[in-house]
Amino acid sequence: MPNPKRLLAHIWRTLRTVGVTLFIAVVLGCAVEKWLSSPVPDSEQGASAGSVSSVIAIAGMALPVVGVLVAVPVLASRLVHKLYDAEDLDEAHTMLNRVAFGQLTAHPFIVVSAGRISLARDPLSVAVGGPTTLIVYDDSAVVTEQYGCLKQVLGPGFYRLGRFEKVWEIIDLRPQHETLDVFALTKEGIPVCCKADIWLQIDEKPGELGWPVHVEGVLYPYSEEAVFKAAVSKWVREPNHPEHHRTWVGRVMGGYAEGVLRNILAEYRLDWLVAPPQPEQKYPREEIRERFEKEMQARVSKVGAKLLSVKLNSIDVRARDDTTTEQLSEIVSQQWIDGWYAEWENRAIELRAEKEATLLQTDMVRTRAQVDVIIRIMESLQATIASKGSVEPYILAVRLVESLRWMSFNAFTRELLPVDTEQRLKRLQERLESGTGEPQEQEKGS
Amino acid sequence: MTRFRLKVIPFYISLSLFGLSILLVGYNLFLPVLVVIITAYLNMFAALFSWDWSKSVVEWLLGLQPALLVPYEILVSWLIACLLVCVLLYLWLKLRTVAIIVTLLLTVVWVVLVFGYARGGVMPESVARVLRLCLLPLISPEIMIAFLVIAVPGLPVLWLLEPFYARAALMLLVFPWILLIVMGKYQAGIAILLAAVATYVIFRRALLIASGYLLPSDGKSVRRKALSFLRDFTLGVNYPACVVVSGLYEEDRVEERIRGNVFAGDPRDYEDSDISAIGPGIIICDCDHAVAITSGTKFKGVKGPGVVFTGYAERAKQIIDLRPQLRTFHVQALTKDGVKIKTLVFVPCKIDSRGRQSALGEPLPYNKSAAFRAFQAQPVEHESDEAKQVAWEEMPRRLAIPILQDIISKYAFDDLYAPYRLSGSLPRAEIANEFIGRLSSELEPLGIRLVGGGISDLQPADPEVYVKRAGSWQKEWEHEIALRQAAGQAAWLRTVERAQAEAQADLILELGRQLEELSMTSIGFRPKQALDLLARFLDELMKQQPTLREVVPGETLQALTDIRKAVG
Repeated sequence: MPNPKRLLAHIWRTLRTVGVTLFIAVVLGCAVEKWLSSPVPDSEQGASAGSVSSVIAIAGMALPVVGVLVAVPVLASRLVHKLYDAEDLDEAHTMLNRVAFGQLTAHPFIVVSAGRISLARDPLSVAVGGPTTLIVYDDSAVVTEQYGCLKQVLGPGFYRLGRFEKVWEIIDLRPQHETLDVFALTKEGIPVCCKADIWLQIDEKPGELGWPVHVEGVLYPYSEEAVFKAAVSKWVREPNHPEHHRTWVGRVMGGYAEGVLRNILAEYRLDWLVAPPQPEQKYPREEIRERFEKEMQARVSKVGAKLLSVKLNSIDVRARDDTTTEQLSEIVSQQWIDGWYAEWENRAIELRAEKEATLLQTDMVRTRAQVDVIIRIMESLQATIASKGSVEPYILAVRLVESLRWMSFNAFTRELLPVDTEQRLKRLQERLESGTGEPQEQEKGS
Repeated sequence: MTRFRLKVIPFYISLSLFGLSILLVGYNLFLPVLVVIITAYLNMFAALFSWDWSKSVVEWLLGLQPALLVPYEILVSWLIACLLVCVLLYLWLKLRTVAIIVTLLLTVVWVVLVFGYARGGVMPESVARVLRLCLLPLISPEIMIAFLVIAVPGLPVLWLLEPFYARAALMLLVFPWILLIVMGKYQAGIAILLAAVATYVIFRRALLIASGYLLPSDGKSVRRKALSFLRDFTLGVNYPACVVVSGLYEEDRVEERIRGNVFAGDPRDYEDSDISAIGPGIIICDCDHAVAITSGTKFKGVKGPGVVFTGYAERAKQIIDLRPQLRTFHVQALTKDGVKIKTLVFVPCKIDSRGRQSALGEPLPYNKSAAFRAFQAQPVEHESDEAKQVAWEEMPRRLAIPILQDIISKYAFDDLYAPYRLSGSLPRAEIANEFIGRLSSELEPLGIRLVGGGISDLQPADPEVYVKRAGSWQKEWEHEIALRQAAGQAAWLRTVERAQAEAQADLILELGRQLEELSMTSIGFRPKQALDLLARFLDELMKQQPTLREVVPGETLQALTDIRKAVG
């Protein structure tokens, strides 16, 4: 059912231009007719016949004006038909009538949803502009242009676009998500690839210009300034590029995200990407993620967006070509396995050493150590026997204590002996030497 | 099921018919019936209640319909005229042949009506005498009427062809009109005069108003230019009218919707007629495009966005996209030590806007002189046998490659990554900053501004380098593993040595303690006692640790036995 208000408005506009012109022409024609024509005989039949002929005469007088009022829109419609590539003259006239007098009904209308024009029965209203009805669903916002200038930002709702006002850019207000493969080089120049999971959305915080913010009663809150920034941040790429228009989403994902993450990864060595270089440091992936998020937050606001979340998935050794990736993976993964195994080996050795250390109480090593002491003592005594050519108890005893003293000087042994051990052994040795005197003196004594 | 859509012309046809029917029924049926009913009641009540005033009321009521005759006729005529406008418009838009026939019919009707006003009346003798004196043939009034009838549509057409002629014709028509009146056919003369004036004035005015709705622009000057173009278009002598669309390639961005001749303003270029264009050509751009205009011999400047009017010999030379243009390309370069590397470079640029930002109520900003410089600087590239002009948005690529190659040539290959640098910015960031700085300074005089840009990873051209790098990294690992293994071994050795030292220390301590005790207990510490103690100690030890006896070499045991014997 057409809107009565809109209908009346259209009728009013048409009447005050075309209707008034015709009316004046008819009034003048009537005046001329009454003034110039012969009076009609006064009979009943004659009166009505006179009336009919009067009407015909009056209407006939207005025929030239009728012709003009037909010729003008036809001429104008011809131009509109060619200039705006309308399907036919009728469509051109419909558009011209709409521009001049407004819409008669809600048609034509444009429906914008999911970040694009989802319905538009009249292609002229999209290409040329209004007046037209614009319906913006709750997941989109629109920036319009009129007369070669950016006109206004429109959020979800019903709107009537003005003369030649058309949709210039559509912004999807829904959260945007993409998983990126970001190729980078580590600090030592080994190629890696990191999967980054990024969620972002148009911002709803007030901007510097203080434009309206829509938070209450909308499905996806937004600020008009953010929508405008997103709309004007579109970049145009090469004609043959699949992504010919890089929108605000592409700029964040393909531009900022890749650049920032690449820079961060370039500060890390390959091993640091797996484990922190120092035990007390943060886990590298979390550290990288935090830095990434912080730097991205600062940048996405330039395109009117806000970052919802950032996650980093695995960081793999990967080059851009498969052959190199295969070779690198082989080297790196093998090396990491070797490294892991070496770690286990070391642990095994340490464990063995710890075990042997407890077993050493009764183990062969302790036995060997004792044997070693005994052997050294014996060797020392034997050497004395061999050099003196006889077994002199005095000398042997002194050599015994001397051997003990010399063995106590050993660096490892010394640490484990009480501090005064050497002194005591020395005193012992002195006592042996003084207590017995020379051997001849001993035999004499006995 | 097709939905019913209310269209303008059918709606107004329906409205007119509805209005007509209401009027016809109302005036011819409803009103008389109402008058009769009221009159009857009034007469009845007048008779009953002796109302004196009822008679005058009845008389008034009876005179109502005749009194309303003229307004009724006007309204009916008006509605018929509206209906005719709608029907004729519909026919001209949809069924041209029928429209022509109907139009001709209506024209005949009007001519007949006009001639009807010429009935009666005889040319005064004095007028006839004057005509004879002027050697003018006795022109019949009908011929004069016919001539003036042609003038009614002729004036607007003449005005289209040449406004000056229309004004002159209007002046000249005064004489035949006066003559007609003098001939006694003043009714016809007045009817024709009114028709001619109304047609001419309304045609011009309506066309001017309609022209204001043809182009996406505001303003009186635009309206007049649009009117001029409409006139040229109607006569087929217009300049071209183009629309800028979002095409991928330059040649697709301009669509000449109305074909025209860029030299239409010079009648010397027309062989058959003296009609030339009085209006401009048109180029319509959106808010994000401007257009470089040239007349072929002279550059007229960069104009737009919005509606751009062109003049004699002017045409769109190039469409300039005011949005940032992003170009990505690979660059190969040699480092200082001869290693070839490649990187992906991205340079977004746009026509310089002197810092102005986009804002509502304005088109995308740009500086006209910057646009001119960018346009002027577009070089012609000679590749193989073809020479082709390069668009301004491709120029950053041309300039960027040698700059980046120059920067990279100052770095050694390993310096590109600085694996052992502990602080400071990354080499890639330094290279990118220098690159952007130099490229910006080279583009600025060309009216082009960089809005960002950078480089991707500096990759070796030969992927084998990665494998070698991985090999170096592997060597580091191997070294690390070896160190760890050595550390592990060292730890084990230390543990073993410690255990050995512990055992030795225990033995020394125990033996020493026993010797010391012995020396404390005996007066005169005798060597034999010490040796005896040693022998007993070792015997005791070997008893406690049977494995000791097995491990101790035979010579050592023999030596012990000898010493025991020697001691006795």
